[in-house]
Amino acid sequence: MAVVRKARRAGSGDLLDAALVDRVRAILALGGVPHADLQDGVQQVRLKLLEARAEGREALRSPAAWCAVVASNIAMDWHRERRRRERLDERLTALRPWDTTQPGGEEARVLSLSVAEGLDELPLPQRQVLVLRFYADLPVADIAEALGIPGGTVKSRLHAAVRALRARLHTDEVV
Amino acid sequence: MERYEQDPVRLVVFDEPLPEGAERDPGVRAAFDDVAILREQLAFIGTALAGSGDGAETAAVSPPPRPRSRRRRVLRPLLAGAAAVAVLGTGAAYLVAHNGVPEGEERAKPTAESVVACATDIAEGTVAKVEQLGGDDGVRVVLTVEHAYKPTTAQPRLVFTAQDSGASYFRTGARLLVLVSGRPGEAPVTFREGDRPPGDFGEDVGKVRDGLEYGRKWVEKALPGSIGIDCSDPG
Repeated sequence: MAVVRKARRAGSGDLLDAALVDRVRAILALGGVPHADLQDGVQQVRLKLLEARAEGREALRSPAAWCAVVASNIAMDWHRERRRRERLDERLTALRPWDTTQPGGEEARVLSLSVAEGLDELPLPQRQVLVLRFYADLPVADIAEALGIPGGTVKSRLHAAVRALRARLHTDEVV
Repeated sequence: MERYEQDPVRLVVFDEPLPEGAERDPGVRAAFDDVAILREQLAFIGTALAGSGDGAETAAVSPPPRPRSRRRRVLRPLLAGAAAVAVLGTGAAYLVAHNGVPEGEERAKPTAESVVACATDIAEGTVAKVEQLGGDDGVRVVLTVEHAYKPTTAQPRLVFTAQDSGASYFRTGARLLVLVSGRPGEAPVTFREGDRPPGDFGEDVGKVRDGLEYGRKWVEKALPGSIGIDCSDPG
């Protein structure tokens, strides 16, 4: 945390535009980081981006993809450091009232809660690759390269995660 | 229908082209549908929980509608913040942009027949792969062709580039009808399954359930009149 605050005072200018900040926040949130800690997570991404550029390290194809991977790793680290985590479904439920006046509002809410619970129940490595593949839209090869693991490992984690979530959706009868 | 023996989840989650006939397998189609739901839910959940950058949580959230049935799954994109093209589909957005041309300027207005005539490829299929191109160059989309309108002897895959709206319009598993223009610099026209049809902005093609069906009827209606149209005039 102290390192993050130092970077903020350095004031090097914002490396992340508004759209990228929103994306990073969403990936952190999907990774289980509570709302109160999201801004710190964004700052950590900024710091790592600064470090990477200062060292001349080659990023992924695009800064957005690189930031997505860094954010997912930060979410993983957060879980390793903290014992307690708020379940996604509890945080979704705690949001101010859902708009159930939209067509299918209540059923849609149930679907979202089912996916959130399924996401929380995934092992962290599976959750990480699932978010990188289907939220950040990174190709399997890029995920493997960024995480430093074989492509086959990414595929097997994705496969397991999708099978688990599909089973969850069908068990809950939301699809 | 030939039963596809491989695990359909493998085909959906891996970055590999679909084997011949796989796209017609009901198990594969169901897997694509479920993954499309997961994508939309991840986007919704992530956005809802992340809230705005000023630290306030989202005030009221509108989750994407629940899919109606497996057979005729109509998945609508998350509307909050989505660009018009992601809501209407590029085909309908194209029609909206080109309607309302004053009388006497018909020569400048592209008709459905001229759009079809000047397309090098018209095909319907499923998005197999999407690659980000560098900078503002958009995305490269690989479509597994299920039905080819033009040419009728098309290859099993159609590759084209497009500008993504930022709301991930082109997603793996999405079903599209695409018209790739032969005119330099002209963007492809697409109609996507689950999108709203253009309604009053479009042509009368009869009752349709979504943008994809509208696109099919729009193309089929225009094909006969497209024969012989000169595409050398950029107007």
